[in-house]
Amino acid sequence: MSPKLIDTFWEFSNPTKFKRLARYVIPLSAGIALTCIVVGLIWGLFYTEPDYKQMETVKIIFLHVPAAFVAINTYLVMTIASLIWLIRRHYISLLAAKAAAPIGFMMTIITIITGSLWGSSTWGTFWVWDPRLTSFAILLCFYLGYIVLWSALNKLETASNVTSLFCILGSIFALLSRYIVFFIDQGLHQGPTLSLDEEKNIDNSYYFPLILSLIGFSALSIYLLFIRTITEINIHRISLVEKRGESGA
Amino acid sequence: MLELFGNYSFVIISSYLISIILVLVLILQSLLSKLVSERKLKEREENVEKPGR
Repeated sequence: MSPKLIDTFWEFSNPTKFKRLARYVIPLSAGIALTCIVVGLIWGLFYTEPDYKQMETVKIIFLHVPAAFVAINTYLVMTIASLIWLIRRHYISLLAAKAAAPIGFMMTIITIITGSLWGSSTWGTFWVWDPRLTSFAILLCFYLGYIVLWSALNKLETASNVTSLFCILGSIFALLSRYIVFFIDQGLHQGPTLSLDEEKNIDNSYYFPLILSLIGFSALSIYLLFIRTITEINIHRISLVEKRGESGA
Repeated sequence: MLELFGNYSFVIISSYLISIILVLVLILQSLLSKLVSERKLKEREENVEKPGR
């Protein structure tokens, strides 16, 4: 990455510049999310053939896989943002990590619910302690822990450091446990849905609506991340204005 | 509608319904919090700028 590009990136640690960027990103991501999700889900739900093995239940894949993709990558975003806070002390990165947690939490819930419903008809059970399912249960616990920590600690300085450290600690368990399952070929859950190996990859009739849905869910998470980060910036600014008012009175 | 996906209609429709409801709740909550925070910030800034009012 060129030094100029890195400098441009750090410029967005300024709230005014971040809000200016959000003015473009929010409508763009909302448009992409709405189009891709609506087209992807309608295509997947009504215009794909049932699978020879899983029959119609395969149609849950268009929700389950994108939600899981967003759930895991949101934690990755939170980890990077927390690292930036701990190293460079940019408030926007801290507030972005805080803003991302409910998005990841909700996507993990959607992944677990759709997976359970899918499992109930294909495996005959809602839950098994399979490595992949367990890794998502761990991820859910870390999201919940992170959100609870933020609401439990009142002092911003303490909360920011503790939650960032918790997030980085969680990445060891949540992210590694997620990726380690690629190397553990056991349990009921199937292998990766999308693969560069053409033989392992899913059929083209499912591939394109799934990709659309993936793009849509990713755009939705970007849209929500920007909206929620702006809210966090506003809340932070309100507390600063109140302090200024108290000291001026 | 319930016959659309054969024996698995309940599972498929409930998956889609639950997911759509959860996503909509998240979107609405995010938008409402943004609106409330913007209004509060505006009020506070006006109060600080004009303390006599």
